[in-house]
Amino acid sequence: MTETTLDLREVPENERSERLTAAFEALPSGGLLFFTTAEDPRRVLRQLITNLWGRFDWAPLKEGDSQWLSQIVKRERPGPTGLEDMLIVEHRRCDDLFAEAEAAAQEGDQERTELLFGRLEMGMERHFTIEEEGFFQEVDQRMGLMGGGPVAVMRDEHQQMRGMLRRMAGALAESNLEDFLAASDTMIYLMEQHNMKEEEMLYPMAEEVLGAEMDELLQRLYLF
Amino acid sequence: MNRKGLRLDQAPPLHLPLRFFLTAPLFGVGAGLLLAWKGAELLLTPWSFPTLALVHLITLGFLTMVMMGALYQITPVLVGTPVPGTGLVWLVHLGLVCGLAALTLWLLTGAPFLNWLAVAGLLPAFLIFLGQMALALRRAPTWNATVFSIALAVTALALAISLGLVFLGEFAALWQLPARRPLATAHVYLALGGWVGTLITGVGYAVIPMFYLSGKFPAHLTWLVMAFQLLLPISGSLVAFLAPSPVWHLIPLLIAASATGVFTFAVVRALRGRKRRIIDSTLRYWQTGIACAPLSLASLAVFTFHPEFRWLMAFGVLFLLGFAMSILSGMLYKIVAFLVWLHRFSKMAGKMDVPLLRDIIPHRPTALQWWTHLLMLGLLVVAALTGHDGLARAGGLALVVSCGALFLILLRAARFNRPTTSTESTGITATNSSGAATAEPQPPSQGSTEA
Ligand code: HEM
Ligand SMILES: [Fe+2]
Ligand SMILES: [Fe+2]
Repeated sequence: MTETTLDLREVPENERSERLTAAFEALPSGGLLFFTTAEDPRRVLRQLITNLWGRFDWAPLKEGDSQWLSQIVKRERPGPTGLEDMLIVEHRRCDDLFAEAEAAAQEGDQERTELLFGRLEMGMERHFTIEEEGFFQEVDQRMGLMGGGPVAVMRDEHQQMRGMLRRMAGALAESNLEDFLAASDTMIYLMEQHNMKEEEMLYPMAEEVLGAEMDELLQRLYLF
Repeated sequence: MNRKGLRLDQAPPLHLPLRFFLTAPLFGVGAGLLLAWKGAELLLTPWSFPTLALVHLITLGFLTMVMMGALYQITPVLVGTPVPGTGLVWLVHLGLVCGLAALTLWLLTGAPFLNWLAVAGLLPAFLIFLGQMALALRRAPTWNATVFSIALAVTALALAISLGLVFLGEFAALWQLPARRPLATAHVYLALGGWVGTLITGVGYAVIPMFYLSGKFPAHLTWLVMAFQLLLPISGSLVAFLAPSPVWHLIPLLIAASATGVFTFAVVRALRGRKRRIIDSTLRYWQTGIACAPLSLASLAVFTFHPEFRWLMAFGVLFLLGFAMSILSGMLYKIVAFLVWLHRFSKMAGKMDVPLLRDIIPHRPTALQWWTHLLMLGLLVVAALTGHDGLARAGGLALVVSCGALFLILLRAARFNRPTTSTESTGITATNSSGAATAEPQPPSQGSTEA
């Protein structure tokens, strides 16, 4: 894999955002940059949001004792323009990770499967958290759903997906790639039908309900 | 957008779609038996009563049966609103089964009371079904391409059914139709182009990106295909009524070719660019169906210039069995496995011994079933083109085998309700008591025994 990574672990705190911004500006449109930090990258992310909001997508890939790995992508179109934009980007990123992890398992490459699956798990969990603790709650309150309605079904399905991710992780821990693939083949249908319901129905509806204060909400959700 | 109308929790109980999905292959077996019994006689002219029986065993018994079950299942998800009156669905199913059985027997024997029995079964079945769909669509919170294609397909079905029943009325000497032939042509355009064609393409847009992570179909292509599909039955019917010369039939033919061309292009591109590299029977079936669609139209084009019936019969085989039945069979494997899993096992998703889709529908039997389907197609295309009696009967038997195998695979899936440790997982009926400990909300036997 050719992944160029910017190492910010040794960089003094007041220079980090500068270094990251410089590396970001050097990226071509659509370009991808990895960076490692010694602690939770959300600190430097805050500064990024202040400086570069509307031009990038961020995602955590790995958290660790003293080594956190994240990625930022330079957006081709400005955004996220709304919830739909932000959350669908995440769906597609997880789709890609999913397909790559599956392909690695098909090739029998345990190590690479673990690497990619780890990123997938992380991305999915963050996405669930953003939805459950940010976005669903917001929709719940505005529409007076009291935790019921479409949002409740979505929460349920998140639990099922968490279960399937654990199941895949279990197979991977036993180095049973065959079983990992069987579990992933079940997971994909669960995940895609869930995403479809969100993308076709829930997100458009929520955009309408949430309307104006979108940017503020998005920036808050971003830090989840 | 009607926000309060959005419901994402309205998936119907498992036994409801399953009863349609399990009956469909049985009508396929019926069609195969009829063909094996009567032989090439059924492939000589499209207008004979036994041929009509064969055609409707496939179109109503298999294709429409599956598509109705699928609509009950996916409308709540794709349209975002529940289908009302699910308590009546058993009646729809019963009416369709009995009505079609009576229609078939009537076409074969001509006993007059059977004609009435057919109407008594089919009319209420379709009235209820179409009413339910109309209500669900009216409450749709949003009108996207998928909702639109469902509405188009259901409207075409309603018109095709009405014409079909009008024909039955004429056969019962209730009235005399002034323009039977053009009406029959309109019936076929509505049924095949409007109903079967639109619904299958709509399903393709929805599921190919989902199953194979191929990215969404470009919206302009889906709308373009839908525009052609709207024009097809209209132009086909107009031409049938107004234009005596067969050359005019090139207009609907060109429209059908455009729809098929764009759809085929979009699917081939999506499947080529798919991110999931897996190859399963559903993919094989999509490839089969997508290959047969242009071939069927080519054969129809030949018929327009050389009006020999064999080209029309080859079209029928390629379109009904090659295109529609292939794609629906592939879909059945995925939908049934997933529904069984969702209803019975999703609550225990995290456990290591939770059954997976491949336990519910294993790969090997479906791969073998696909081969028998291909064999059947090959035999019947050649039989249609040559009129060879032995090949027609062999093709009929192959249809019995492939639909019979499809039925057995789906039946096993419907009765699957317990994690199994061995690969030989038959004899599941004996385990109902332990099955009750799983997440299945209803008695586990319900799904299979009624269907
Ligand atoms: C209540 C339901 C239906 C009834 C009673 C019915 C009845 C008929 C009748 C009487 C004909 C012969 C017309 C003629 O040549 O004068 C016919 C032709 C045909 N129908 Fe239907 N039909 C029904 C539904 C359908 C559906 C849903 C489909 C397809 C999905 C379909 C496909 C066809 C085809 C392909 C033909 C032409 C067959 C041939 O000429 O051999 N029908 N139908
Ligand atoms: Fe979600
Ligand atoms: Fe989501």
